[in-house]
Amino acid sequence: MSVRVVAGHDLRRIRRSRGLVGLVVVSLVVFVGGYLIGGLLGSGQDPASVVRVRLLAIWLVAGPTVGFVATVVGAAGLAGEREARTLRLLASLPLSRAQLVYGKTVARAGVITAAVTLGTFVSLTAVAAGTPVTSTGRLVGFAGFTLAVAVSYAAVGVAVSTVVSADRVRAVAVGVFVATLVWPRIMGFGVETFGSERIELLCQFLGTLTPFGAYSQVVSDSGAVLAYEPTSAVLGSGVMALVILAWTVGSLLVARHQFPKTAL
Amino acid sequence: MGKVYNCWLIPVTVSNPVLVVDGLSKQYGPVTAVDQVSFSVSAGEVFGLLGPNGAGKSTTLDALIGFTEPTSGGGAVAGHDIVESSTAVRSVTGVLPEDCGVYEELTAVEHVELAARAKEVDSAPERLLGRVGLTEESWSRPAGGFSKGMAQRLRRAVALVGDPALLVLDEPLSGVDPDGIAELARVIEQIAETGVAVVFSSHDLPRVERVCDRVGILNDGEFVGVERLTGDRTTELILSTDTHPRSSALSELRALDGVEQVGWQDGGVHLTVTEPTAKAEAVQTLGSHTRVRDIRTRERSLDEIFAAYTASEERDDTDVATRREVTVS
Repeated sequence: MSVRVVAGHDLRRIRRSRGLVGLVVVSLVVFVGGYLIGGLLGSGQDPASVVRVRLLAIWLVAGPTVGFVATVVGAAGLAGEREARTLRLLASLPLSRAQLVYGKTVARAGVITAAVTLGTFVSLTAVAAGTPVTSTGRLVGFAGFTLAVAVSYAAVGVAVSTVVSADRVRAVAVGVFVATLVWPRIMGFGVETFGSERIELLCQFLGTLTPFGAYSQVVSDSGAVLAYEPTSAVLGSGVMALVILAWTVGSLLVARHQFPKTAL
Repeated sequence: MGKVYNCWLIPVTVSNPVLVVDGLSKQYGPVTAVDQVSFSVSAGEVFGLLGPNGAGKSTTLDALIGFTEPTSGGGAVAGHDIVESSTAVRSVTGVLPEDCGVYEELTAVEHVELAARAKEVDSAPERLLGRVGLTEESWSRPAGGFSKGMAQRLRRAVALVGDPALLVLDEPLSGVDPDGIAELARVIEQIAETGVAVVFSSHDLPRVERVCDRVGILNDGEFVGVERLTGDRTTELILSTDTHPRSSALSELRALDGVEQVGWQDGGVHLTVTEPTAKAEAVQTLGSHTRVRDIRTRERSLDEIFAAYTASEERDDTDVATRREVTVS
């Protein structure tokens, strides 16, 4: 009940500050932009290749942007209250620290989800309409994983805001996001360097252990950037879904554990 | 049955305590911010927590409302344990935190509605906003355009949502102009008259004196005393005599119940009297030794009380003897 109170309160503030409008605009720009870039890159190719290139372009443009924005929006939930000196006002109400964390996460993930849903719907519908050969399942999976990774990064942002002092929250949140972004690439060097199949598989798997790594493994094209042939179940979409879920749940647990220790 | 607390207190019996603080301590690493603080506040009473900056006032209040967890000790608000049930504590407590903002994009009504939803009570925002003196035209305006005084009134309205049993005000006087202070004093008085226990912190002694029934004095994290400012207030009794009384007479005076300090100065015996009945006994006792020419009483100002408690860093054995037990019935 009180999680709803916090979430409703935060959603109202975001709406009033036109934050939701801004997020929708960003989402449409990056998803539609990705779609258009993909169209340019794939022009002249066969329909299946055009779909492939369009999805790759959407992933490449929208994926990091969604993760970045979600992390920053999540981090701003509690940090923003602290900066505006309203956190003590909110905490003076009969709301537990856990309810504050969950309520903020629900609200922040909610607005990100709304914005990303619109962006993915528009861009993927355009992909499907333009090329009838597209697999519906792939598009649904693409959309689902995009939303899941957005929620996961929002939770990461919230967790960062409970661990780091208010003046460093944004910098650390961006730092954490960038680390999760480059981690798959770093592991990619291992994949390219070692000859052993087992070590190669290990590096491939380790590279998927960030939200962006797992997301890329599923939605990017197999054998293309940051995605490997799922030669083992550990590289399959089920495990990748678990990785993203683990980041979401783990971040919430960290936030719940740390926030009561945080000075208001 | 009463509950016994060890603390630096004059003998005061507090009935129906809404707030009980018992041996509350807070450590930040090697630093002791608050050490073994105990006091209680009854329904309808206004209790001021005084002390210089850094004395531990805000830490004490933060521990009461669950903003920080005590290292040891604890307390209760309307029967709810401040550590185990801090959410329940805040459901019966109105809090006006120090240095706290308002939501710039939300209206005054929405602030009150938020608190009402959190406390699961009917909001009646208009009644509360009117009660704290916010004019009707401001109720639907975003609080970002409020003046400092209006924002303070709004925070007060939020604190009063749900008719709390306890009102906690952290430094409510800081940054408030004299008119605002007079108004706040009136509001606090009105709130207390409805049976709400009020606790607030301040380092502004003259202003506190106008508002409080009792004050607790904190110094360097230690609770060094409680003084009643209304009713049976501690007074200084000055008995003028022709000659310096014998030491046996002064010893007899010291032995009286309700007499705390006895000394000779400027042709008179000066006594600190904490019980009204002790005055007559003191006159009678001294009169049996020497002729009492004049009897005068003087209420000690809060400044004097504060100075008396905080002046000496080290308390001797005599002072320790004044440590009393307070029975809360």
